[in-house]
Amino acid sequence: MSARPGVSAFRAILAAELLLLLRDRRALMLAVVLPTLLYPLIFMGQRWLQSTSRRSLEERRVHVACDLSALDASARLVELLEEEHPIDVVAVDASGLEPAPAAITPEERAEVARLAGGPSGVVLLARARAGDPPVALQLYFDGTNDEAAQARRRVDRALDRFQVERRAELVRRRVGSDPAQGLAITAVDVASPEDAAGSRLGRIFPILAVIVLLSGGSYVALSAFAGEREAGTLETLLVQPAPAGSLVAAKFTAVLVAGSLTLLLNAASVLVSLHAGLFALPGGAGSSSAIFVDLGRLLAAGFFFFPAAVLLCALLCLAVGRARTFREGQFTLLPLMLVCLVPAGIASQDVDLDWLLATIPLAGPSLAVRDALRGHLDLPVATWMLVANTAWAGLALGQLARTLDTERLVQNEGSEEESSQRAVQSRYALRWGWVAVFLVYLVGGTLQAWDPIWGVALTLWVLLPPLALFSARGTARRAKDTIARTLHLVRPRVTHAVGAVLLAPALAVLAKTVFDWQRQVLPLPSRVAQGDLLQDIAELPLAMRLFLLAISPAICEELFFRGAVLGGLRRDLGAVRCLAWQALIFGAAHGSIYRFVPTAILGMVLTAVVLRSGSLWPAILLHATYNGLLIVGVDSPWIVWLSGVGLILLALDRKRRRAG
Amino acid sequence: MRNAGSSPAAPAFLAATLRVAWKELATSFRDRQTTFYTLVLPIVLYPFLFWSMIQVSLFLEGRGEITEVAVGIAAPQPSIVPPGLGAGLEQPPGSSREGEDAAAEAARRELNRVHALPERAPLDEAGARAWVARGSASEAAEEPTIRPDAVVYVHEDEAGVRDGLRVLYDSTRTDSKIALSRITRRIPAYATELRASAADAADPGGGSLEPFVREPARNVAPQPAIGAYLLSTVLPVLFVLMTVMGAFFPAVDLTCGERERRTMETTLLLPIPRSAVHLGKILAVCAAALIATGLNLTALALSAEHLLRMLPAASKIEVQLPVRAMLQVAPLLLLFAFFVSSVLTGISSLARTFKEGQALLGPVQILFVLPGLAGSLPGVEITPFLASIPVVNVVLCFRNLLRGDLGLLEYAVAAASLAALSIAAIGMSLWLLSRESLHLSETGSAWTNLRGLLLSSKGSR
Amino acid sequence: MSAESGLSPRVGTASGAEPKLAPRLSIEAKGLRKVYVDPRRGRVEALCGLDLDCRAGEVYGLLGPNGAGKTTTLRVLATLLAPTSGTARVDGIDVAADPLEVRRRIGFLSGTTGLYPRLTPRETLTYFGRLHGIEAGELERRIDGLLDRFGMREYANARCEGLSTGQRQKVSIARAVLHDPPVLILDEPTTGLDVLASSAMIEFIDSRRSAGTCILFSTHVLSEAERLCDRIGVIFQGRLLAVGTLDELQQRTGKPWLADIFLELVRRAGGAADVG
Repeated sequence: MSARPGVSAFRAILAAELLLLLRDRRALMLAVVLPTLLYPLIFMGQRWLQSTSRRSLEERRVHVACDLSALDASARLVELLEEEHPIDVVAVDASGLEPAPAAITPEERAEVARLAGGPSGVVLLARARAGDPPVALQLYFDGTNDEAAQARRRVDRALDRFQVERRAELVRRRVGSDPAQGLAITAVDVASPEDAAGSRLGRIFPILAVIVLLSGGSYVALSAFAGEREAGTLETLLVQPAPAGSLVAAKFTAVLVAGSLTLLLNAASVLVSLHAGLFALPGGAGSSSAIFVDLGRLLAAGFFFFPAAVLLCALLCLAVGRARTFREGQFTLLPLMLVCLVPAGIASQDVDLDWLLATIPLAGPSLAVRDALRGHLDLPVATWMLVANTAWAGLALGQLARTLDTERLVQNEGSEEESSQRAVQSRYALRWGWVAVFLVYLVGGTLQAWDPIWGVALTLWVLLPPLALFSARGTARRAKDTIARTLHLVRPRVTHAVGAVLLAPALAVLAKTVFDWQRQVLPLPSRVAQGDLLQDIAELPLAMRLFLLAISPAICEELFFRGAVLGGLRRDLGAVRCLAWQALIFGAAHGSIYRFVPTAILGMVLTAVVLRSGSLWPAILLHATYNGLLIVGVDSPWIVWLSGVGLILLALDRKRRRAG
Repeated sequence: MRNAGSSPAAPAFLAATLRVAWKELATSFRDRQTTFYTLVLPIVLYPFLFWSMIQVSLFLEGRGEITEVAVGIAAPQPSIVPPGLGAGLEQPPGSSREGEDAAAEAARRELNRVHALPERAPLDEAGARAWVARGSASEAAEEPTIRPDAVVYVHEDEAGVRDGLRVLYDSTRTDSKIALSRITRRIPAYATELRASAADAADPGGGSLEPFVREPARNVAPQPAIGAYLLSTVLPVLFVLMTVMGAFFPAVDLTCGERERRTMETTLLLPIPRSAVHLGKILAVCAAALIATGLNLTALALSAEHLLRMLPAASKIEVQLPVRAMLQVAPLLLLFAFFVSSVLTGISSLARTFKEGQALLGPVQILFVLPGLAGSLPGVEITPFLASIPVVNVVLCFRNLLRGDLGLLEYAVAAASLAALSIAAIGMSLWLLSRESLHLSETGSAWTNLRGLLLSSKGSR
Repeated sequence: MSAESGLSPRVGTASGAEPKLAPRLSIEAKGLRKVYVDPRRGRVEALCGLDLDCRAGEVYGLLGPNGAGKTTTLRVLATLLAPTSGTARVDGIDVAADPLEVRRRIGFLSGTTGLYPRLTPRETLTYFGRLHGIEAGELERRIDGLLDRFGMREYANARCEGLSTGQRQKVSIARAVLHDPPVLILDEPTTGLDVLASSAMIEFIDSRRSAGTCILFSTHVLSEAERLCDRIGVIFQGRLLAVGTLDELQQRTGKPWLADIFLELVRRAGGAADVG
């Protein structure tokens, strides 16, 4: 009986929203008329522009001045050059040209300009050299000139062919026959046309879908939430005997329907353009043949994209739902779209759908859509993708239901400042956290690129402590407390301090395990793994290394993250949310997806230690010991048992210093 | 408190305009969201985007390295398969680098692995295709075998002589594409090796098999010019985009936003001419757009520099800011910003609400951006005719100035055209704004309002 | 803008003071017509030949139902709209010929004359003052005086968007009188105000009248009109039905209460073709 009013209210509100939408001429025009006209026009225009510009460059006459006196069979090379028409090949005497060993000298430049007869010409020079082979070919060109670049391309092509011929000739002379004859490579794509078309479409489809879904749904979301609030009709609606849950659900469904319809219309327009051969998809050979994608695959793609669509609409409602005016709601759209485009764009890269990627929201569905379109779907992984992404969507919907309660919906008075008084401490703390993440990445990264050792030192000691102090000062002022207590700089209980230190070995071992696991799923490219950053540091004496990499981070990072930021978070949020935010910010501050998981885990443990002991010092000690162990290396396994003791110490001693 | 004399001297037109402009600009930036959008977002956005790109590219690179691909070899007859092809494919290129110890070399061999499957010969090409596509060597899938990611099919001509290698791959499979790229890199090294060993066997000490050494091409352009050239390919379009986007929100905010905040009437009561108010708004929009553009470009430049340092291929590029060119183009850019502001502010003054203003300006933005993109295509040269077309002329002039070759005539034509069009836009919008029905009626779409405007009577100055 | 001599004798004021030499006409409208094209409704005749005259030191109230033309009249006089035909002069200056000068001499206030939300009261007053051409020193003095006079000191530096309705009203009033205008035009100034705020408004109007300002305002609240107005004009369908003091209107219609006077006049107008 109780479900009934909810369901009928849901249906009534949904119907009203959709009716309002249909009556909105502008929305209809944006959703229907615009894409139908837009895509064909854009595609045609783009193709025309590309072909025009390409053609015009290839038809330009280029000028090549060459001095090939030192080269055997130079006549053949000239022949090959002249086949790259329209081209002028002129013989010159370049004996006055002395190539400098390093950078180009002004004399060289002047001589080349003279020989080439202008900036659009290139000079090809054959020089005698010591050693074997006795000749070197050198090309001079002006990189800022389009025609010179074109000339260079043509000369390179001719040189390639010449080189192949000459090599074969040389081998034949010495061996009698060319053992490597007939090894020229031609690549042949055996994919069926449907698969190839589907693959090319699948690479751009997720990005398009995110953009269209968000734009199409945003209009309804804005009208349904912010627009109603602005118009004052929301209050009226809330007074009706309809549960707020139905209200939110109905509005969300309206957003989903509108977004999906827009997406369908846009997709149909794209497909029709493709079918009519108006567009050559990127990655194709630029053919103008019609591309037709199988309907079954399209349906499968739609099916796999559905959880992502739900998630996107939920995010949209979350972003817009709190806005008080249309205008305020608009602001969140662009950042939201950009953030969502990043995982969706992964489908355009050469990466396969696997278990890890299937778990990532938006990335998993994008890859599954692409795979469905190109006909290579791995069903178990795709099923897991559905499960995981449905969970994400459910999480978002749950958050939506929680945040848009009646009180929030009704709060339409007051300025921005009034509403900003809610949970102010945690919000400021988070802001400081993100500022630090940003500054560490930009400023710290620059400093470390300049000098690895000083860079790390400066980032830790000069960047973080002032941020910590400023942030703590604000928090302390608002809470009418001292800065020291905000930073948790109180004396800890001895049991807690000792317990924390003893946790370090287990953490270090855990970190190693995580790194090993990461090597399977998230391998670092070899080029980076032998990073020269650590090289410099590794040459320092052990004491210096410990100071730089263990003690300094322990003090400075703890001061900021577990001192200032946690000090603010703690006053408004519960333990679980503090842990989650700390994991996220601390992980992000280390600036790389490879270090994210280990540092996030470390952040959580450290946060728990501070929350438990009420003091920063155990965390500092733990952090220093942990880093130190990672540097020195953990070998004996029994040391891990010490951590068990540490855990017990921390768990049993419930008394803690009041940190205020 | 009464003044005995006449009313105090009215502020001069310019002073009034500047005062209005300053007030509009200051209040725009007092809005937390405008500040966020104009100041914070660009500073945060580009680093985030570039960081994501770096992480994704590292991820893909790392993933690619540990992927092992299986490559099959097929030929119509066994005899035409070159010897050791399989081993050649499995050999990583650039083997045994100098100064590399055994451990490092072994580690390197673990990456980018190719597993060469046993040769299948005789096998015709159709069979080879089926092998790649389905994993079986015939149309009927009887014997399940390991499906290769690519097959190197040794092709023979009518005389039964080997005349090329066809690499059969599937472009819809990631591993297949990786296999293709590895094969393409390793076969030439294998060929060179074949030749070298044959030559050594037949004629030891006979000299190099390379006809000549190909030195890397030397770019005679001086470093600043190269940097300027690189900038000239992206900077003009970016500038146009950013100016238009930066002017968009202030334009809507200062016009329709005022209507929504109900301060329209208050502004109309100011004892200064309407044209001063409108001009003041345009100046404020222009200033906001320039600030936003400047910040965007700075943030972009800093993050791009960071990005360049992280990516391997681009690390040798050095770009310096071409100061002289920027100074030369500055007047033109200012004129352009003014032009954009006049047009956008003018159009958005017609709208009644924020929503409507945004709806109107959206398509207008596209109209600005498309010519900009068109002008940035390579191969488009500036002519006096093109110099008179608004957005295209800015892009082309900027580009040519960065490359150091712009004629005075084209520059003058572009400047004159922009100035004239700005004045026309201002005049048009002033004329429309003076129409009263804007103030009288509260509803109606932009089109009916426009019609109404043209029919209505003139309002006060 | 001080009172000058040489005009017609003034009729007895509502407060019963002895007649003085009549000051010159601050507001004068003759045959004011206003026609405009509304996109939805077509051709609308808002004013059909309105005559109006108000003197300095007088409070003139404009009464009428919605759509009668009160707002249009006030806006024409404030130079926000231009008359289709007829003339209007404010402080001797033609509204069509020199609207800029007119705006310098009036203070206008209505329900829809908003405040810039992101400016503080002080900044708002400074902005308007500078645009009126008031010198910096003098402007400071005046602003301080107004802040004290209206008791706005404590929120003088808070943004207007954060102020309550009453506080905003005070700022609006200060803005309207900052440049010491000889004419005040108020469109339903007490709409939406509570008892305290509207009595403050009434007191303010009174004080300006004593200082010699001509005040023209429109209202729905008949008790205010009874209390404040020296003369009352009843406007209906773009025309003035009757003008006069309260006594005169009572005599004319034979009704004691303003509400009944109003209804009687409208009734008569509804039947008759050409009234007033």
